[in-house]
Amino acid sequence: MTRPSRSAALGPAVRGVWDRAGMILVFAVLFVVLSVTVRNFCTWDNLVFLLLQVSTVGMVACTMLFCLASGDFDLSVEAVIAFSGVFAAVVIARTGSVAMGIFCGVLGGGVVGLINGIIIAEFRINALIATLATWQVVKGLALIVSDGKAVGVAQEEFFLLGRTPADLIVQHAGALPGWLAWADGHYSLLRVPNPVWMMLGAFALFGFLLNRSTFGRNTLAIGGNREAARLAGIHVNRTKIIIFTLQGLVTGFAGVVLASRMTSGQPNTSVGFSLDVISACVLGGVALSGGVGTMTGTIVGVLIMGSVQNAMNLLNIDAFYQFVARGVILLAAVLLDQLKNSRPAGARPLLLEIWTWAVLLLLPVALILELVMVPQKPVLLVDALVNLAALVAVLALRSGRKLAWLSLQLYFAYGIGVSIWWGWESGGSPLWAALQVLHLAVVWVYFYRPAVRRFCQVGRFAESA
Amino acid sequence: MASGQPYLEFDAISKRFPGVQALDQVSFGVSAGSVHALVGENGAGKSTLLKVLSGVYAPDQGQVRLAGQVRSFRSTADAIAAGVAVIYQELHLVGEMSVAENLLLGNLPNRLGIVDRKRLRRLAQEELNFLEEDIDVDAKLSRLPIAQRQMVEIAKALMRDASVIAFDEPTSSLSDREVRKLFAVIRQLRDRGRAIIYVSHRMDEIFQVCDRVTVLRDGRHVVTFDEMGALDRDVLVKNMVGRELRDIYNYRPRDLGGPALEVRELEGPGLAAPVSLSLAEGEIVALFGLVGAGRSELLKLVYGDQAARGGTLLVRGRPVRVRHPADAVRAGVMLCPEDRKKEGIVPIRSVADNINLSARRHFSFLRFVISPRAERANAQAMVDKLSIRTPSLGQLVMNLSGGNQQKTILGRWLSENVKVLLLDEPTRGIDVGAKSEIYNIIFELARQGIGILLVSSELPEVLGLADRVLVMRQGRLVAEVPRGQANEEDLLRLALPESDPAAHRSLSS
Repeated sequence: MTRPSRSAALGPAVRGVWDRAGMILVFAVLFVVLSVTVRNFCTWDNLVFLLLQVSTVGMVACTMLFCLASGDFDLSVEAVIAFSGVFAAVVIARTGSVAMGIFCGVLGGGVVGLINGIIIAEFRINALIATLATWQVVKGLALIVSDGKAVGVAQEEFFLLGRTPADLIVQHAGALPGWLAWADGHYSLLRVPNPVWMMLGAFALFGFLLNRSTFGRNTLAIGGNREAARLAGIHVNRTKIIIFTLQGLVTGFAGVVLASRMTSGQPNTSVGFSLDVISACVLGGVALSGGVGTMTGTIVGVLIMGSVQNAMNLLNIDAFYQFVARGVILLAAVLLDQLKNSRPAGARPLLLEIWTWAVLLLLPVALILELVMVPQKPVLLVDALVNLAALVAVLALRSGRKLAWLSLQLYFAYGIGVSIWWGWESGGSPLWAALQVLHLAVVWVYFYRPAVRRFCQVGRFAESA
Repeated sequence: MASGQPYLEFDAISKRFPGVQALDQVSFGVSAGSVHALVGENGAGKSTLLKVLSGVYAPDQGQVRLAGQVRSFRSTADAIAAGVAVIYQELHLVGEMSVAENLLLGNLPNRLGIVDRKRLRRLAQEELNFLEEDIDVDAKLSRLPIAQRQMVEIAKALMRDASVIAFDEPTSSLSDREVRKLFAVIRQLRDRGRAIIYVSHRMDEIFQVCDRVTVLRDGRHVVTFDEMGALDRDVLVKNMVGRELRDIYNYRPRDLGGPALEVRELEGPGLAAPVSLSLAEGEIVALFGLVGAGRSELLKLVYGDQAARGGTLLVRGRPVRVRHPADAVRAGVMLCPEDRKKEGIVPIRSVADNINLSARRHFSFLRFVISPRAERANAQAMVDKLSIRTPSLGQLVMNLSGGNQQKTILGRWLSENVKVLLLDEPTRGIDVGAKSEIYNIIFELARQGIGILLVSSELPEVLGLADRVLVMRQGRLVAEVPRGQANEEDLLRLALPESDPAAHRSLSS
């Protein structure tokens, strides 16, 4: 780690890293915090299981990144996931051919994507409306094809696609050789399930396409300025249709893999999946307005969503609360997108920036955890309210309100007090308390440096003028 | 006509935008009960002055006085409340509402928040009766023809009981009959003691309806004529252009090659008649005309941005079919668009990305896998060659100045195998220093044998750069003037729309 305060020359360099890879830092902090506070989080089996959990979102996020980067988005993916799984299962049941089923499932997704692309690019229909419509249509098709019921698959070969080593699910330490595990007599490379490899493959493939192909660069240019791209001789409509078709094919494939994992095609699977994918992308810094997006960011966004969900599962948090948490995280992500775009370059001290992001991401999680535990520990309600106030204060600070500044000072004082009390009293992890004290102490010292305070104020006045 | 103290006075109004002094100490008065014309070239400051009057811009210096009282409008609402109505070329109406609702929008007659339809219709009908307009007050606005919508906009201004009414090019979308009707209304308003400002390029209209005329040039007040009767049209035009040519152009004659671009009988939207022109290698040809004369439309047809209805294009003697900008680029015809921000740059991408936007396929493996090293080298070469001032190749283009953004777009095309360069207002909104740099680049490109077709509204630029000037008026190519014979007055006179075509024929021959 570098120390921005030591050397003036380091400042811009660190800011550059922060601007480009800020989310990676946030994820690193989140990962450390979860590892320390949540039992069994940082174990090989759990991490592999986490990757398996996010594999469907991860694959679709790759192509959703292209959609968003070109300035559109796609709400129909959740219906395509269900449809392609069901379709594959039905074809396998009718023909007995697994290959045929997989082929038809993927192709079905591709056709939906192609239709989306043509409607959006050629007929200039807003992507929201167009994909909302195809979402309904395809969802209906999935129900029609399956008659509203799960379609089971008898052929064992089909399950190879979503093969998960049995020992991962029961979560006992592997008795099998570490790097090459056997489960039900099938290989699984490095004891990692196939869908995870497929997701990693998709990351690599689409990362390459985005960064190193004319197609990827054109996609970003179209999202950045459609007219300019067209006048620069880029075939905008053709590129958009390719993007949506790819999106359909990959989503179709992800749906077939999901069906293989579940050993049946289920028409009602993956409710809310589209928004999960979009929120993961946005968390990873993909601008909803288009033109900005990186594969690393998207991967980190997927991992942040997955880690939070996985941790909540490990903590036995009610699924109902998990919805609230996901919504709050999505909101935080969109706010971050907005804040990052509205920031005039270099107008804010770097540490304030990083700290704000961390708080915006971590406080909602802390809030949910606290609310869940309120029935056992009523005193946590107070803490939760204070945290909520802090969240509002951080947001207000971005707009430069004096009151927000004051309330933050109070919050630091309170936070340090609570951390010490928690560490002594609750029997909770002393490491966690120490971490929090350290964090708050750093921020405290930092904000009391008069030079920094003056700088912040200068920034505020400059903004209001 | 009315006399004495003017009702509306502009007192030493100045307004500066980055790189350009839009208004410089402009002072004149408009009397109640008179129609006051405001004329000048494109960019003379007419629109800026109207926007100061309507509260869109606050002047840097100077004041606006109404009836002797200093008024400072902080918003358009302030100006409306003070009785100032400005009727712009683009209409500000709600298409999905009825005529009556549009007329009283923001001030709908109501009882406890429930709209009183009867009164609404009666008030609207009264106003339209005054204008002698036969428009159904219940008709949805979007159903009306453009001319009637314009009348609705005028009626809306009158409903607010405005004492100052400014018209900005009100006749551009009206037919002769409608123009006569509009003039009747304007005269009626004048007789009712309103102070009226009338902005137009059309000389005959100004002589028909206006009592006085003020000429602006380069943001400065040149002269106000109080008596239209004695005024000669040529004197007026001379006052509009008369300016010394600063020589920032360094024009030197070049050797011309074979034909770079030939356009034969090109037809399409924006052109009133088929257009034919040719351009030699190394030649700079300027298309001059007023805004809306079809210059940009012609470029867009050549570039394939608009579908042509007929005609052929030859690039270096070879016929090409252009149906999409990509076809034009492949044939070696490149366009630097008029609206740099909206159509030229991709603001949130880097300088390198913007330069390589089109040419990257040439240094990509199978035209697909890009080569970061070749892209960096190309971008660096362009930055050096065009001296684009940017802290790094990775800097976002939106953070560059206008001149450097324009150079970035030029760099994009110079990375390609460019044969013909179409430049649409290449120096709009660019400060003087960067302008002369861009002029030097244009000359250098011409020396390398690139044919350059330039559209510009700035006469000095046209005269300073072009080997040949083609004048467009109302969608037609009306004259061709070689460099030696081109002067500002003739070009402007040729470009001004007029009802009598015979006068033009004698001028252009």
